[in-house]
Amino acid sequence: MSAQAFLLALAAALMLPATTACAQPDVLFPPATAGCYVGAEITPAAGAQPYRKPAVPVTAIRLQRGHPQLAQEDEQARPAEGGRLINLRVIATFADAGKDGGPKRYANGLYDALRCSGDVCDAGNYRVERQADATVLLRMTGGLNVGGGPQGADASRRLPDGHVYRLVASTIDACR
Amino acid sequence: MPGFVTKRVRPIPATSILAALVAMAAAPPTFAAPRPLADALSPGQPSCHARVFGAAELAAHPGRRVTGIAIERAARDVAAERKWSRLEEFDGTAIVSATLRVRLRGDPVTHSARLQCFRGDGDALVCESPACVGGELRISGEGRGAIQVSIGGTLKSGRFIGHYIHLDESCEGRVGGPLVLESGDDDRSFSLAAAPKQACQ
Repeated sequence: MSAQAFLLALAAALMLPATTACAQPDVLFPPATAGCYVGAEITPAAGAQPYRKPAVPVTAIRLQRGHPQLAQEDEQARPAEGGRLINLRVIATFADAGKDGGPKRYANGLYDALRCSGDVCDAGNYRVERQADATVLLRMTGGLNVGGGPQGADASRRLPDGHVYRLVASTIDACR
Repeated sequence: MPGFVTKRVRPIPATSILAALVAMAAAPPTFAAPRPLADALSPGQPSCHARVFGAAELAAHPGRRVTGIAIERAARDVAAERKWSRLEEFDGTAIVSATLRVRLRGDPVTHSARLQCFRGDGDALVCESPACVGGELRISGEGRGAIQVSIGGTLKSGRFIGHYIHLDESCEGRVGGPLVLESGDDDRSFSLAAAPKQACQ
């Protein structure tokens, strides 16, 4: 191998990890790509606030990024200070889903934005963190209000501060 | 203060202030944006928009699952809209209520889903199923009272992103998976003309 070829190979070898590091935020929620994570709660920490009104736990959590979220992102400018903004639909199913005619699913607002940097996306009151095993943690850092059912029914619940949910990347079908 | 000229301010009669306040309270809120698609989906009036694909159209689009699709606003929808119109409107506040009805190829059942629609971009509506949140469709105007129903859409890059809407209220509780209308190659958008009420049944 010539000295020039060796230097090129060395430069490529040095650039590859840097390129991968830069791509990290896109691994969690790749731009312009629909995605779905599905999971459930892991054992709440000792200090986690309980579910209240009613005291019913979550049985499934979905993080959906479909056309509505990607279309919204399409209109958002990339933050000048780095990172990027993404939109996410957090869909919660509680243990009493559909009981007594109640909502089967609850979700956050349509235009919740998260700032992503590295392996973490932060909404301020909750975070999504990519783990080394490729799962993600949805961590409540203040709590998230979720609503359900028809307008006017005023059905809302809360994913309380301190609760953590572990999710795995799934096919889009799993978020439907 | 020497040389400082003061001028007596003309008193404003209390009756003038009261009259102005009454006029402000009685005037309609001019800041409210007009409701999208007010011509096709007129507030206070039921509506029906429908499309049935004939054998020739289905043969030309073998990938199309939908053989018939309708959007109906019945009396109960109009009543719901009237109630909602009294609420303050935020992002995501429903302003139009409707029922989606779909017939699928090789399926004798007419599937239906309740829709709640809120203001989208421009003169468009974004509709969700309140029972199974997550899916959505968009309704825009096509002129002369016709509407376009689309599922999924194209980003600025030109890339099409598919989506879906639930066709019943079972959500993930249905054996075999949720029943959805998804944006396949030939099921992305549908042009629906205004039609008599019977066409939406």
